[in-house]
Amino acid sequence: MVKGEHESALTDEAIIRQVMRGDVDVFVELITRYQQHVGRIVAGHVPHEMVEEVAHNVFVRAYTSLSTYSFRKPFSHWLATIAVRSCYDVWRAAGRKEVPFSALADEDHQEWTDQLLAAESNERFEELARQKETKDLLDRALAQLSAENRMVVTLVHLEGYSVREAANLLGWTVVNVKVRAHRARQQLRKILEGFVGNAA
Amino acid sequence: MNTPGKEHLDKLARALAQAHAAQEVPQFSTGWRTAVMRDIRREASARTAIEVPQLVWRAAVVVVLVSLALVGSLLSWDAGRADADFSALFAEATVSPTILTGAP
Repeated sequence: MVKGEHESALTDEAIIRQVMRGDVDVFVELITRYQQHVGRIVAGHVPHEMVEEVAHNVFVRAYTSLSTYSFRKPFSHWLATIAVRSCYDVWRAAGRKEVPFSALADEDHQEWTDQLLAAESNERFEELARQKETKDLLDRALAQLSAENRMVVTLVHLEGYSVREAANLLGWTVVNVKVRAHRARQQLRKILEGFVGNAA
Repeated sequence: MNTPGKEHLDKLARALAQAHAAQEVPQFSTGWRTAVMRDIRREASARTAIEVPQLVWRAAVVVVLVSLALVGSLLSWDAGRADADFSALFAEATVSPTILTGAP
């Protein structure tokens, strides 16, 4: 039997136990299984060009803390918490960039915002929403938030996780996430008001 | 009734949420996987390098403890034997009074 075929038939638990016994090479099977899962989570939090690097760190971190995995919840959940916390670490290390509202939208973005707000039809709105400027503007708005608020806004308001789920992923208390979610939403709204105000 | 400002804000927020949802997940290459595994193997060997001295230290502690126990038990056994010799001497003295009296 080909080694790869044999490995892919193993359960996550069997692979993890094998890795913990010292057979490091089988860890590649976990990477193959969960690279898209991790990539999807990471892509939601960090810029496109950083996804590979952060996902790389997620798997190395997962390997080094494998002894703390309790087998009580699915490996994918455990890996998701590592992925989310790794993204949080990226923003914590990067610090917050305070940019005045006026500098948030340059001429191109201003024009895009004007067009978006003036869009009458749904098709036109969808077309504008798909443009690169939308993502740029979102990145600029999120860059205004603290690492904590940014994570909460992304998880709760953009990705639709419940407060409890977000708290589990971040390893914070539910109350902390709830308070932050409220404050961060207000803060983001103020930032967006700045965009709209400039466009008006 | 929604104010124009709120409508605009909601519209912008909706567009940004759509942009977030439409983000592409990169396709990870075999080269990327190989690089991850290289770092993991490095971590594994670094860990072994740390674990081996730990094992040596643990073994050394066990050897010292066993040696101490052995020395301790040897000393107590030896002391017991010396006591026994003295007792035997006195016991012998009481059993053969002729030695002391010089009687035949």
